[in-house]
Amino acid sequence: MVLLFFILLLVGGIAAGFIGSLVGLGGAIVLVPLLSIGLGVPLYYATGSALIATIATSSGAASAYVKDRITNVKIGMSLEIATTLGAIAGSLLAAYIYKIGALSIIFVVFGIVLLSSVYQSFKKRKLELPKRMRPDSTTRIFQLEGSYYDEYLKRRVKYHGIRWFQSEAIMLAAGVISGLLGVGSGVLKVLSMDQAMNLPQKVSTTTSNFMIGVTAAVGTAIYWKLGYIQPFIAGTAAIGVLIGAYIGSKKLNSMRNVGIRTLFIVVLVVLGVEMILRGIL
Amino acid sequence: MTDLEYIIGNTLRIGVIASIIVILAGLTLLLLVPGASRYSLTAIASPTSKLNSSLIRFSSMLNGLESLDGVYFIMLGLAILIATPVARVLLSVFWFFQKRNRIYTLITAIVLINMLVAIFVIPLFI
Repeated sequence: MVLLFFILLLVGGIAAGFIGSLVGLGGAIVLVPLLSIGLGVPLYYATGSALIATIATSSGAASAYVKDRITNVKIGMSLEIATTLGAIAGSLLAAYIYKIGALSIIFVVFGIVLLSSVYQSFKKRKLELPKRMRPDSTTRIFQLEGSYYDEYLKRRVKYHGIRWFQSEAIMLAAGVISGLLGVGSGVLKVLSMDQAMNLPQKVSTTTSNFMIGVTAAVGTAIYWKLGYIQPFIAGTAAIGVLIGAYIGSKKLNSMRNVGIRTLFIVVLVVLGVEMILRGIL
Repeated sequence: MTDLEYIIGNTLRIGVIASIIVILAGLTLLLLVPGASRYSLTAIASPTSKLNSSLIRFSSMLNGLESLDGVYFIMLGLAILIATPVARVLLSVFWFFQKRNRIYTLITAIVLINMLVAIFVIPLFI
């Protein structure tokens, strides 16, 4: 029984880490339903494990992405101001929101926001690289230029980020959602960099991957104290996630941006529906 | 060679490898030294286990590690995992400071302060 539980946790972790590293999120979308519905783990342990899994995906995948210079470190760090502040605000608000019984409303609203962003992503589905837009003043101030070598296109791709303040605002929301719900901040980060900053999909994915570890680390101390982290469940899942993230990080750069985007749109739909269901059930 | 990407990539890699080793050691110890923990293996490895992080104090970490209690090894491995992003932000502050990149020294310092507040101050109010 213990062995079976161990293997299922490990395999679930590998799947979460693999998908998370390719799409730029922490894998809670896979882990939370698998643990809670599939394995009968209480929701608080599932959420705690997912938070640990997010840090594992982030460090595991980003160690490769940063070294391969796909991640834009400056863009990631400049946006972490908003995600960390948002996560602090969200975790402080969580108790109050829970008390007034508004948590289910937030789940539903977040689900609707995700589903309504599908269209914007879908419109860009055939673009291998984003349409060039003129740099704005924030491009220069925050040094948002970059380039990476694309293994699928077999050439160096130059790009620059724009609309830093707009992106930062979405990142604040991503932080709050992460602090409140413990899930979903990676998806909003990818959307922010894709839609507001106009970055190539691979840069958005890997920079989100780089950032989610920092956002998640903000919430861990509270989760630790509240007892949401169960050593066996979180530890085994973390090992699986690190393996999955490693495999994913070796694969990403040879994929097409279009393929990664398609996977991301599927995740958007699944997570949107998952959030609405959690709100109304 | 010592550009920021190289430093961050290696910091993350070292943190990940260290936490994998310590967590795996903990899982192995649960099997090999079952008497070390107050809980039985089936009680620890259950979906609805009563054992969780609220019962693990950092002050008892050393004792737990000394008695080869697998639970403490796993929790130490998770703590290393959590500390890894903090370490990479800290190193970035130093790097940008050394490069005299004022705006990014400020940005990374704010992120670091946010993280430290969240980890050490906020839990006091929960």
